Amino acid sequence: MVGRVFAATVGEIRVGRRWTMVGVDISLRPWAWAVAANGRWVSGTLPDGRAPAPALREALEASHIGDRAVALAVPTRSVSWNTLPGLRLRSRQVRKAAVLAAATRLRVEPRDAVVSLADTPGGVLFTCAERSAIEALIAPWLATGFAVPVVEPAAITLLRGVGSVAPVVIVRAGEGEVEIVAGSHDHLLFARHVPVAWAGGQTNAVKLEVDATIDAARKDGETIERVLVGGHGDLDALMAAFQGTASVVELSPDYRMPEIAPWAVTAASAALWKAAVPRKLRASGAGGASSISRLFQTVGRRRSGSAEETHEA
Amino acid sequence: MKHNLAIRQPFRHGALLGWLLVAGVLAGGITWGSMLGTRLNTLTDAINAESARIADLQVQVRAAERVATPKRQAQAIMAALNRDAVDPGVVRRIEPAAPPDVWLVSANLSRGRLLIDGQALAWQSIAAFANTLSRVPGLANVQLTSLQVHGGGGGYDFHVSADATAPSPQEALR
Repeated sequence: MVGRVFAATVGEIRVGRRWTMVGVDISLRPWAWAVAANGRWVSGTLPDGRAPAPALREALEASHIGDRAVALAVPTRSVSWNTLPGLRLRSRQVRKAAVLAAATRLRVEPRDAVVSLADTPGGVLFTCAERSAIEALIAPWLATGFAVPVVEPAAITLLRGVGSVAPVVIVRAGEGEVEIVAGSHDHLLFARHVPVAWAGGQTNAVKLEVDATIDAARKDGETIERVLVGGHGDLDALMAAFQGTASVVELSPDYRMPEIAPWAVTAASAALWKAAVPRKLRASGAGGASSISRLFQTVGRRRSGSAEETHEA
Repeated sequence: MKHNLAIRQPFRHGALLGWLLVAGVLAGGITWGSMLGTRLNTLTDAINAESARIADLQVQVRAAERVATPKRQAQAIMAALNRDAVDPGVVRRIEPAAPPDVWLVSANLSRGRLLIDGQALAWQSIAAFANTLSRVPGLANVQLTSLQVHGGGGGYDFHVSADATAPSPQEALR
């Protein structure tokens, strides 16, 4: 059954029509989902051992939420990415170059590669995956009747949701796995997926991976000053292990979003995939440079009450 | 920074939409044909009603013509009488108007014009005759058109013309 479903009153949040997707994070177990509905955020987890898509549909029905399209945050290890330095998306040749680069990287025919491009300060960042891999990821959702208009690597979704201008390392703990992501809201540096056995006290192994990530970022000229830790499991022990490495804090966006649990940040960010970054923030590059930050700042100001647990299945 | 690796799904409802389109076209055609048939029936009924009304009017016109024919014939007769007919009684009233020394040789009454040839011993008698004719009912515009001395002895030949007016309706129908 669906795990704990959190809902919070967030005041008069005006969720536009374009925010009609439910974000689903399938990068870490348990899988998480989040959706803005009726002026509040509702989120939950999808249990193992049964088909996730029917479980999500049941959870939405239990929360009295109508049919929604799915924005899928897929495991970052399922995709590959690279930067074409010095280029901008305005050139039509960039897409051809990116497709050829992706096909070469994946060692497939160009028509069998799925490529997405984005402008970054260092050039054009392209993410790519094999078409068959994407089809396999979205097949269960399509079979259940969901539309899947957005498929995004979870690391990029997470970084955009955190909205940090300065590079950070994010450690997300799942059931038997850890994902380590380094980057800022507009720059993905590294993403690593590490299987761990929490019962065996492998926090030190995770610390080693984080230290290696910070060193690798330093070699790329990026200084990591914060480590954000979130997810499921013994987070206190994990955070204690990182002490001395950098400033260790619990995973949360760089803006007020108390309604969303740390493990649902990626899903919430995916749900807001179509929310445009405000022009003012894009131009100035100010802190919290994402539409999500602007949205939740507004939500925080208008929030009238604290989180309340409404449903448990 | 946004990325989207979603794959556009093939549209699987093309056949269904095609059939729906065909059904819609058929339903629309049937509806349109039904409306057109109703409209044609209405127009046909209107044409039939107008045709019946025209036939009725034609019958009334023919009846009116039958009623008006004798009157028109009478009017035509009266017009002809007014145009051609003269008062035959004029001829009877000419003789008494002539003095004793005036002899009438011929009198020609045709198409409202009376021409009289005669002889007289004195031209004063001729003038008196013309004067008397001008007062005869049914004659007007009496003119002495010629006056000539007769052959070897005394006497005169004369010609008189006058307009013979139409007879009165009572005399014309008598």
